[in-house]
Amino acid sequence: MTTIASETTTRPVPRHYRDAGNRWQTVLLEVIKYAVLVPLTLSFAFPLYWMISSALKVDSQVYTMPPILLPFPIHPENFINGWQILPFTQYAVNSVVFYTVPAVAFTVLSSTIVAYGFSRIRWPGRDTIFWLVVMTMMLPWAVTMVPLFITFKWLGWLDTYRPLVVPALFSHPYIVFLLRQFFMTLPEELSDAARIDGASEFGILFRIILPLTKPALAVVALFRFLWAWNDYLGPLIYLRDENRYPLALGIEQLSRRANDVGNFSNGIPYLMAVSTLVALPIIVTFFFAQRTFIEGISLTGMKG
Amino acid sequence: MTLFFDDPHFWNVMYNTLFYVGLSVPFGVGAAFIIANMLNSRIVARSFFRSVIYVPSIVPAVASAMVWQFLMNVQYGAINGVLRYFGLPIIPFLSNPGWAKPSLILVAIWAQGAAVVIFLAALQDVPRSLYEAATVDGANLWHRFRNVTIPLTSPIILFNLIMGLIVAFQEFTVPWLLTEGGPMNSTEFYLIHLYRNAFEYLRMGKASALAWILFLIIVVFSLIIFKTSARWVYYGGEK
Repeated sequence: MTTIASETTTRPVPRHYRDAGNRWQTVLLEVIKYAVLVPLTLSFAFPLYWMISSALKVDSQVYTMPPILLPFPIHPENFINGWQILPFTQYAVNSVVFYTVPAVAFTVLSSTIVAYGFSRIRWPGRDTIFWLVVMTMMLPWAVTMVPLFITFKWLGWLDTYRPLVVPALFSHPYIVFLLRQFFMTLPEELSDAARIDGASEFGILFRIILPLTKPALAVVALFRFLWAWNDYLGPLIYLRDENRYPLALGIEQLSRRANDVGNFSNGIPYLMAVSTLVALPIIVTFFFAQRTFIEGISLTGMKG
Repeated sequence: MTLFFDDPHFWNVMYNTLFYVGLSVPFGVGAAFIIANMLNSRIVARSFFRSVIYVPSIVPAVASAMVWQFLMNVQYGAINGVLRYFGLPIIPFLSNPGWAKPSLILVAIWAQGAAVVIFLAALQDVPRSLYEAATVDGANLWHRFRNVTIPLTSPIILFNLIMGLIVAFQEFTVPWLLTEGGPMNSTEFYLIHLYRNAFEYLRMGKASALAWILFLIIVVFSLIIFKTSARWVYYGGEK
């Protein structure tokens, strides 16, 4: 396939196939392409640029018209002062320790075990049950939101992170589906050889299958991290006590304070500074794991 | 017990939601497809452009809501600051019932980067030889786009349409933080209405009923798209 493609690209198109306007058309098209793409990309980047640059301003620079594109002098102390207006260190600990880390660990662990059971062990009714699991994917989460809330309330789990992380112990249908696809591509002989050597099913999963599916696990862990870190509605529904808030709710809290005029100065710079700090782990992860991100979404269609 | 169908507020919510979905999904998917096509052509720094367009879709929605609220502010927002600088009339993005929905659609399209990456991956799978063959047969750019690009990526267009639809019907965070359903209920979308009933008015029964109606609506819309897709989605090539 590739050889054919490269052959056709290197072979020049016969002259009589080119119409006269073709070269001009090509040049014009190139110009239009960049004339559209560059401003477009700039406008995609602008809100994030504005977030960072406003984080470095003080009130007098924020309310000046026309807006100041490059703040001078800059005020990096906003990052510290804004962070200290509310207990953001506590919120960060909550986000990481009580939500993101358990959610990722539980989801990856439980989903690999479930996916293994659906792909590499034969048992009666397996495929029927698998399709039942897949069907639950079709159910919009908004539909299950209220019954889940009532269930967790009945369990006395309100105002804890349990409603947000315990379900992750029971795997996630979409992730099970994806991992099953990956597991099925591995040859059955691998498992057979291990079984002959006396390995248990867990031994096969953890010592043979998982090392071979690391890229898929990375994708799954990455997206689960993203969902937990960015989640707003889940904590909004389940958490009341401000000391338990994750960063997402902390930002909202700060914006309410900042909007009450006279509460404190530099409200907008502080809000932008904290927003930048909360977005930063995501952006940094993206730049380090760019390939995993891009391959992940191309492969799975998973959105952030 | 009252049925929703007698409740004018319910119909207002339906109208808002359909307006939002009806514009944000086609424009979002369309824009993503066009951007992906531009990125797929011979271009310098493709992965740079791709990254810049993708990143907004993974930034926490709360953080992007904060910056958009600031950007779209009537008095000190940067967008109105620029408009004023050029002597243009200011736009009450979030404070005018007529502008609020289009403003939220704009934010939704800004966060469409994942669809661009999915489209770009699909476009790169289209064999170059097909374009070469079409060129030799005298097809111009539009013909190649219409008869090679669109048919070969149509399953992905379908996928992005359906996914976009499901996400848009359940949009909550950004409208909730930017407008809280206002001004004058003009951005009270389905999920906001549902959230209010469940967690502000504590009408769990009504909220559950609303959830099931939403489920039916999503199923019906997905089915309509699937049914019509037989006419425009091309599954050849593979087999």
